[in-house]
Amino acid sequence: MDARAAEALFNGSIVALVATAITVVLDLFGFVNVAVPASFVLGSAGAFAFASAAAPEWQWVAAGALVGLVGGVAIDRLALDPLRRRGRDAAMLPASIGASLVVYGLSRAAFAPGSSAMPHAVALSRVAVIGHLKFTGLEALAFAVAVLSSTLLHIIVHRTRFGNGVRAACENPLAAQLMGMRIDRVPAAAMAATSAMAATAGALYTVHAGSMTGGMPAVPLLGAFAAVALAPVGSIGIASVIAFVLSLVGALLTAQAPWLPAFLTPVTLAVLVAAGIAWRRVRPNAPATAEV
Amino acid sequence: MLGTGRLTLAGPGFMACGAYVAFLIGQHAHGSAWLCVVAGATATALLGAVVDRCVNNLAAAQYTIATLTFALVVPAFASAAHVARGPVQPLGNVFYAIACLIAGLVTLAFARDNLRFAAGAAAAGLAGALYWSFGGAINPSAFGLDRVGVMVAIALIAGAGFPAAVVLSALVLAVLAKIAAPVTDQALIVDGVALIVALVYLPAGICPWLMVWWRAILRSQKRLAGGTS
Repeated sequence: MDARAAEALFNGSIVALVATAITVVLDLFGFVNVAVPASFVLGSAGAFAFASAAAPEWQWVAAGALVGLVGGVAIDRLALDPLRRRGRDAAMLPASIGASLVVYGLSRAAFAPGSSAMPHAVALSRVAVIGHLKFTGLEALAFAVAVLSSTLLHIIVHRTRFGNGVRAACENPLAAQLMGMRIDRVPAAAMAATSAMAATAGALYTVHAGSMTGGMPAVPLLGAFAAVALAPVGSIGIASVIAFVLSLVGALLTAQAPWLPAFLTPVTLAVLVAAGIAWRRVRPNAPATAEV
Repeated sequence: MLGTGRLTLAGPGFMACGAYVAFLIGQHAHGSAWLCVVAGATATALLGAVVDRCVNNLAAAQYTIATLTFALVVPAFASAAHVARGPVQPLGNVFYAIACLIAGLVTLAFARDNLRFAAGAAAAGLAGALYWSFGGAINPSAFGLDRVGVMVAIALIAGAGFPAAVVLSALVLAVLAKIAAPVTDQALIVDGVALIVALVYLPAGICPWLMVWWRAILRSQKRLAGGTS
């Protein structure tokens, strides 16, 4: 294994974080949250702002996650909660699109084009070698964050009263209230957690790329959709594993067959999305959600 | 494409497809922008019919993922395949754009139910070809997620499923962007806020609300006329 494997694990971590955010919202709220790429941009902007202010490097990613957390609460309170209270679940998807537009506009207004270059991350770029695996501090951090946060979110959503509370608050608010749930806070907390995960991915991607991104790149988002489509809805573990496998297989193919055209990557990911959707249609009796 | 009864997010993908087909045809049809635009719209309509057949029976979440994937993959493919830049076409002007708008609206208004998705795709392809003929250069980032958002905002603000309402939506958003210009030059913020406000307070869109308002004015005028006579 060489640096390319560590790079693939880093890319897999980014895709896993985004896929986890999408599949959890799909499981708990029942819609595809198009605001996840906006949270990615929020994380990128947060990391860029702290890097530009010469803050310590460890604060860059933490700031991105925090900005995403706050942004997730704001998106839920201002765009989604008013619709939830009115019982308009079908409008959640366009509302998340509206929230994304606002985030994109705000990030472009705050950071002028041409001023997106990040300072070099010295400490996070240090290379360590364990056995045959050579990786940077940033790659190790991304992998650890992806594994830990996915595991933690899986436990919170599937093994605690909180996860059941979110479902209850979305499906039957009155019953949830009678059970003692704070239905005004529980969905916002879930949205904040998923938004923070996507924002962490955005911050890590930005520090790695060395420049702020004004929009989420298409290939990682396609990879996340492929993982979501192939995994059972809400299955955080399977979605994360698929994200890592896709990234490692992609790196292996690039290393073994460098003559393959670059456009095969997005096309293959789109085919995998179609295959995942077709698989769900062929097996309609398969459980809609799975606990893995 | 809301005429199909579902919110499709594939619009920018079809728009990109129309732009790239127009670009490729433009390499051979020197100076004939009309030919390029018609070819872009036709190719996109055919692709739309195929995509519609594939996604027609999907559940809501799967439909969203499938259409959004299509919107992402077309520009990503074109970018990776280096189909990126085209020559400047001097034929694009306002009358030309209005003609395309009228053609698109007529197509959408008279399309049968089973052809509405393809007609919507053709309209998006027409817009893409028009975009190419005005700008000359095709940038894949022009068909990104923000384009999806703007399309959804224009489709929903005035009222879903009625082709002519999108003209009203576009006008409303343009006026709001002008009003907000002293505060922000980012039209995306205005579009996003307008979409959220419309979804919360005007779930059926502006058109039905305007109709109710118009009827109330007419009734009050009749009452006034009856009182004076």
